[in-house]
Amino acid sequence: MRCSRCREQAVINLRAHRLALCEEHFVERFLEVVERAIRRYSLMRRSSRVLVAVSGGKDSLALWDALTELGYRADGLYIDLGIRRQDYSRISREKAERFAEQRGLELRVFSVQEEYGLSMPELRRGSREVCSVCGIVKRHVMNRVALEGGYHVLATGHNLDDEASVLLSNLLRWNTELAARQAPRVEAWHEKLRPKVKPLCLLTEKETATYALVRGIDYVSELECPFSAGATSIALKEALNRIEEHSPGTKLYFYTQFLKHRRIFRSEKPAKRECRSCGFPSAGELCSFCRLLLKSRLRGEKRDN
Amino acid sequence: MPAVVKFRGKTLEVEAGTKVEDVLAMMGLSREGVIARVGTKLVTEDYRLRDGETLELISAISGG
Repeated sequence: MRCSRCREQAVINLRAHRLALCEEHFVERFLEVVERAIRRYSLMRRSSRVLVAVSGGKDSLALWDALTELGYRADGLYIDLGIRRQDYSRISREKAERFAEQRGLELRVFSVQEEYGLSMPELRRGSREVCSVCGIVKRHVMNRVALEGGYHVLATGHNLDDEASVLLSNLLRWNTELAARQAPRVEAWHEKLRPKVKPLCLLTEKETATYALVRGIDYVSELECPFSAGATSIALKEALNRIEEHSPGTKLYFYTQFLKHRRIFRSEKPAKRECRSCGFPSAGELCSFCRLLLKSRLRGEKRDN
Repeated sequence: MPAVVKFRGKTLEVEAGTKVEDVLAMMGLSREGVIARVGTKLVTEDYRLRDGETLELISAISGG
């Protein structure tokens, strides 16, 4: 297959766009789409100080690379969750550190174990919903580092497949509250929070992986988070890919049309309270992170006695 | 000489001349979920494998 722009050998066939592209034109288009998402959804300004949450995986490192290429002032944040199984945290941390070092970028490393005395496996003690526990921890740390570091926005590597599969999950359960909050830019509802933006939301997972490979980004490819095995999100992504295989462009249409109509879903505005333990915004007296910390410590004490 | 296909630690042999899209169909994989690489070059699904070549299929899907 030949590149639709220059007739060189193509490296990817974007069936949704009826476009085959060579390395050079694929990278060029990838950056154009990132910039398009930033403008279309008003994700950030050229002068914004951006904190990119990096995991060592393809999406977050591709995002950091793309934002830097486009001239944004972006620092990275790696949250070390202390997952020792398969050496997961150590390997992913090394990938993030090496990426930053090679490009002369600033990476902030936040160790959950060092800061709170508990690793992710200890925090999820007794909880079946490991991915939601991980989400609570990451959100708390991201907000804290963004606030303390004086950043304007927090950027995550969520791609089109992530967004479409979350949307499908919300709709399958008719969770209209969560659907109402899903957006490429999630506004801050409290002065201690920062807007969260998803500049890769118009690009598929295959496109971000291809970008990472073409740009020579050394990302965690062989390893998956040991806790994500059998995750529902993977099953939903595979289901969407089956549909995409049959009808190219469905994922993009599903997500972008949702964004046009998402106002039909409503969510309650959270009350502007602050957690009495950490001082961060909270729906209740204690925020979900501090509740998790308390529960895990209590369970740990019970086990030790 | 057949061509070799590698995916998630497994290896299989296919006849030279087989297209990447046929390999994906044979393995029940969606072209949306994998990237095909021969040597250091990424290839599209219409690529025909040659004698002795190794096709590496890289999963694009991650979750959690």
